[in-house]
Amino acid sequence: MRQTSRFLKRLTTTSFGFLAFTGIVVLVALIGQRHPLRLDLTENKRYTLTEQSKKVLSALNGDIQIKAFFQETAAERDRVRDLLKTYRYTSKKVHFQFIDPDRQPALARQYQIRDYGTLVLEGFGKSQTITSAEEEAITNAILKLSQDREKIVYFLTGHGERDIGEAGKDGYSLVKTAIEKQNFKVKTCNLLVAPEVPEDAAVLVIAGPQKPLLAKEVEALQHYLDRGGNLLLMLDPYNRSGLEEMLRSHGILLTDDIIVDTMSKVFGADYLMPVIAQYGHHKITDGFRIACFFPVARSVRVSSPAPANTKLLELALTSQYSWAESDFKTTDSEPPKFNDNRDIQGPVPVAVAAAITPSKKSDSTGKSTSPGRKKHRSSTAELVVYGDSDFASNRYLNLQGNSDLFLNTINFLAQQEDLITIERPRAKAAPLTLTRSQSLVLFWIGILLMPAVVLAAGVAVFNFRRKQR
Amino acid sequence: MKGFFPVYRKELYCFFSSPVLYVVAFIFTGLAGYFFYASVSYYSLASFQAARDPFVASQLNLSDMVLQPFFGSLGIVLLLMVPLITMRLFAEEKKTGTIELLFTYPISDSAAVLGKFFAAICVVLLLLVTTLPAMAVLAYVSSPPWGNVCSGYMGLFLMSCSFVSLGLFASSLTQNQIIAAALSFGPLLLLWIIGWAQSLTGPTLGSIIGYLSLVNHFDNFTKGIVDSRDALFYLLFTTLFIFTTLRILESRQWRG
Repeated sequence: MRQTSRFLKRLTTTSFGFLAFTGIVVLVALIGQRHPLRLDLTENKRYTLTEQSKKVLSALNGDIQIKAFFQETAAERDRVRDLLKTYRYTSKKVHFQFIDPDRQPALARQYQIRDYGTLVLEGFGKSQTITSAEEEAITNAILKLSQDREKIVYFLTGHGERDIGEAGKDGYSLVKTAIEKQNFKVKTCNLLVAPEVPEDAAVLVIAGPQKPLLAKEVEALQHYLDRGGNLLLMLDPYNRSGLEEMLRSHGILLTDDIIVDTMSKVFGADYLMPVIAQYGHHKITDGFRIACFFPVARSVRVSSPAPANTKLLELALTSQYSWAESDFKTTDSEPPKFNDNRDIQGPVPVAVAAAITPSKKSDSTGKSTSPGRKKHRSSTAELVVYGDSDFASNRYLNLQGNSDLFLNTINFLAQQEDLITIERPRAKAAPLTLTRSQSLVLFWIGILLMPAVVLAAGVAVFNFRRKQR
Repeated sequence: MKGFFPVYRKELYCFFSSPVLYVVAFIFTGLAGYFFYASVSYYSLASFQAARDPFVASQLNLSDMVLQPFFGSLGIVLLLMVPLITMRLFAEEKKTGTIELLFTYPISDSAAVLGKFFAAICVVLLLLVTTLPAMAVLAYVSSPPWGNVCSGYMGLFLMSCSFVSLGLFASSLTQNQIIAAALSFGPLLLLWIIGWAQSLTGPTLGSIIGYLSLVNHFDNFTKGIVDSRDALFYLLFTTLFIFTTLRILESRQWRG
């Protein structure tokens, strides 16, 4: 009896001791999880964020939730997980979770996920969707979320431009909603009333003016560009905008023509609705693979050589079956024919992006007119010219890639001044081609040496022990 | 800790005079050599094929294509071999009855347990050392990223510590060496693959399961990241099983 009670007593003490110790272990593990310390021993510090990203993260004063939409079995997933873990390690304010859009279609639908590998970042009551899970994209998205300064996209009025308030098929009300969804404010401005483009304009959009701008207004626009403004022009064919001269001085050529695309009839559209078949290598079109349609468009070409301080790039081109028709009569019921002498054979550029670095002179004038403005403006002015304004109208905005192309352009122009460029040092490539002798060394030392040594040691020990007996 | 060194020395002597160690080491070195040879040869082949494509060639690096798979395979081989090393630690002494002798000596329980633990660790370290010539060969044909090599070995060592501690615990439960080996091999394998269930469960349970997974913590080391959380996991795992072994030994006094 006494023995049994002693046994039970010892059993309980031991069990309690064990439980207490396990509790301590769990506690230490929990504390350890909360205060991690990492050492990145890889050669190019692959698992460490760049200084720029660290700076952005350390300035965060609210939580960021990242939802990564990846298939469970996707090969990319591991790399992205490592990257997001690195973000999480760098800042405790970053939380992430992986969602398989195939297994949770409701969530994928709620966030309007169209492609695998999409990241949705939420925080500060806003959200940002990115399709490239690279450090540059993620850090910039976090930066966008954390900025409280609201960016304003201005639309010029006064010349019969597209109306952001009009809900009809030619209006731009859908554009307005779409831009607002990107966390920008949309306003209009009239250069006939105000002498200058507003101070707080992140982008100025001139969408399809039907009457030419006055010389004073063009001057104001040039001024805006000189101080590093971002301008989006959407100019329809056979409408003189009054901007031709200014654009020519920046190396962008507008001629009176209209693009005829015999191929686009295949898609059930008119021959005046060219398909955008190619995109130039630009941040706006990075990874863009969807076709766009530009109903009734004109060509926008670049002059060569480009003027000094200007980088020009053809952003979107039509297919090789199209051309720019310079003698177009709308009364013709027959499709026009290609004319060797006058027309320009496709692919025809219909959009051009120009990055204009101000020369010393204009820079100094910019400073003199507006001291302090340079602080939050990058000095490079970005100018994008589209030879069409219909593609973003309510009727065509949701056609194929039109809205993506337009929003990419707005995003690019609006973010230009504070976008961070992150250039990660590339992993040092070390291809290895073995020579015959190296291959032999690899085989003999790599495979055979150590087993032979072990075998020899074993035999030696047993011989020695047998002799001892 | 009185008597730690005598136990440690005696255990090492037992290891080196028993054929088990040589057989285990022979198999381990053979497999390790094969994995190394295969991954380097494959890398060489991939480099040869990528020579025409500069983009693919820029993606090639030793840490991803040689070191990571090599350390990963070594981890699995160790998982198979460590139970064979640890199985006899207590089981044999129980079988032959020398365990009574061990307890009558003026040696504390913790000294006995730690002596055996560190002797087994030394043997595992020796196994790891046998793979160093492979690294020397790698340095001869190319320039390996030494940071990744260091973290890989650090991970292998820490993981081996947890393997040994579980093996030690299993050996203290029985006097049959095969049962001891099976008792350590089974749970180790389970903890190795438990991460697979992570994606099938909810977030809370999933994160606990993910934390318990031996291989999840090992992955970072093979990639070249030394994370305090991973190191702490292995250390806590080891401590917990050494502590449990001590309690098991202690219980013989009152279990009768």
